[in-house]
Amino acid sequence: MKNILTVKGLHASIDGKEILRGIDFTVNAGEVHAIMGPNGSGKSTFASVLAGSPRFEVTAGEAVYDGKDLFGMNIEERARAGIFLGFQYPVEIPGVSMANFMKIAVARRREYLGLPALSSGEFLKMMREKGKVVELDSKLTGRAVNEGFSGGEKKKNEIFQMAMLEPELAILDETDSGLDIDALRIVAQGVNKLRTKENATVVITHYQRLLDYIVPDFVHVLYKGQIILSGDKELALKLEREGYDWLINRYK
Amino acid sequence: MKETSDLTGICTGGVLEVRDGQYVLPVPSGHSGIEALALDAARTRYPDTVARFGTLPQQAAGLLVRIPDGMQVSEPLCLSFTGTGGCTVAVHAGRGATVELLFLLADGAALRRHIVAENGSSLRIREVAAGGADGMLSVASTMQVGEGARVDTVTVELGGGRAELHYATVLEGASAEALYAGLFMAADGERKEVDVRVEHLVPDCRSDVLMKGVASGTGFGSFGGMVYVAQDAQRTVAYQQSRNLVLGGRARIVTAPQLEIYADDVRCSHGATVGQMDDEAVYYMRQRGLSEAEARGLQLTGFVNEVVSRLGDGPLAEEVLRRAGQKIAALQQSA
Repeated sequence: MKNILTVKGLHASIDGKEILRGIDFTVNAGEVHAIMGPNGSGKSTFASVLAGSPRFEVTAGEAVYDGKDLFGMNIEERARAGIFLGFQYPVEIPGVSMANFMKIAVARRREYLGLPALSSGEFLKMMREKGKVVELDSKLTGRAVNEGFSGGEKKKNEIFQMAMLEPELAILDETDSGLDIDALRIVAQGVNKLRTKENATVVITHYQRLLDYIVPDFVHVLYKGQIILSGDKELALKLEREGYDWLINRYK
Repeated sequence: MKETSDLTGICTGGVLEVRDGQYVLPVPSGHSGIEALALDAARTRYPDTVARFGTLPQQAAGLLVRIPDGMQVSEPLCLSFTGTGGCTVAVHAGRGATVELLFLLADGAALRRHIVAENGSSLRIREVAAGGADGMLSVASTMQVGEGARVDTVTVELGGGRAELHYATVLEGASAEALYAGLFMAADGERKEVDVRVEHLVPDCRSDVLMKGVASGTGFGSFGGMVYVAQDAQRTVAYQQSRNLVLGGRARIVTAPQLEIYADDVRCSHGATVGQMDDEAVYYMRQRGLSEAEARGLQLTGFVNEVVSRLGDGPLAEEVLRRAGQKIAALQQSA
């Protein structure tokens, strides 16, 4: 099985405060990983560090993505190479249309993959087709990026962008937060439709509910910046029933 | 100068040209019915019309553009101002008339504009300042808006030097409406000053002002806004917004939006921001594969496009957006 990402001994901090304290993490093609854990355990930080957020400093450890030194790549190099971060709080960009934004993003991704540029017609067709993955209203794609979108629309829009960019590694940071049950189902089904044997998905979530739809191969519990337990989907169900306390007490 | 004459190419209906303060009559073909004549002649021929202009100096030389009552003009009338020297233009939109005027201004031009929009008329004013490297551009515009009349003004300032733009609008008939959207960009060494005053004198009028500014390098911009609501002007709705982006540590934009309200049943709001580019948005776009320069450029384009898009669809908006893109590149370089 092809390795997509291997992280070893990762430490990262923000403003001198250490958030990640030694993470080992391996993702292979075709896998779905869920990262769970209580508030403040470092889940979102881990996602941001993998995406290259300038807010965090990597102080130790290494990461190899698709055979390359991940921390030697800047944000857009990682994106073009197929790392996609679904934002917990997607950013509104007034005056920038989804179409103009995605046109550049798709062009850069295709350049990286050595694919020919799309014509305007092909691009618009792609927009329409990928919009169907998450039942995104075609009117939204004509609007400014996330501006005036509801919480559910913003999250659908993240998965729409994921569909457009066809990443090898999708990291979805609390994509389920703020979604009603219908939107959750649509978003989760969208993610499932995009699964292939060649790509991998990392789902960061608080709740087991999302994992009813996106069934993980592995479940990891992050606590105080370390993965303290890994298991299969049964672990998520146990956490749902019993909470984190038993695990945290054992860890102490 | 050359740049501005390029712009006139998009005026399919022909151009009324004013060069060094001297105008070339008559009104271009395609606008039969619209009359343009020297103010001197107008004082004799249309004394009542000229008397309607409360702000027009008695002896002022210049031009009267007269749109007769009820006239509907589909093609915009272009007025191009080049060279140096001032020019006074009085525009009279008769009752129920509908017309679009496009003012193309080169650096160095000084326009004194007086507009009367009579009851029930509808005026679209598009104003693009572009071209030339030096010289000061100045616009002093006054407007009287009658009952049920509507004036919608969009200004895009892309000039390369100094600009002083003053707009004063008086809503003097009930249910009159004035919309104003403007944009200035002050690159290194440039200075742009804009003030917009709106007076609500009678009930049930509406005004909405949006002014956007960008400055970089040693560029300087200022916005002074005033919404005045007289005691009788009940049920006024008035909005005033000033949104500004400063690129780099040396550029400066000063904004002062003000409200002066003497009526008690009104809906008024004002807001002002002067900020840097949104780093979160840049990060978001880079995470989708855009380079940092692309992300910043796109964000700036988005910022200015909120005003430029109000020029409408078609060749004017396209050409202005293209030039705004060049200006944005210059702003980014000097940031």
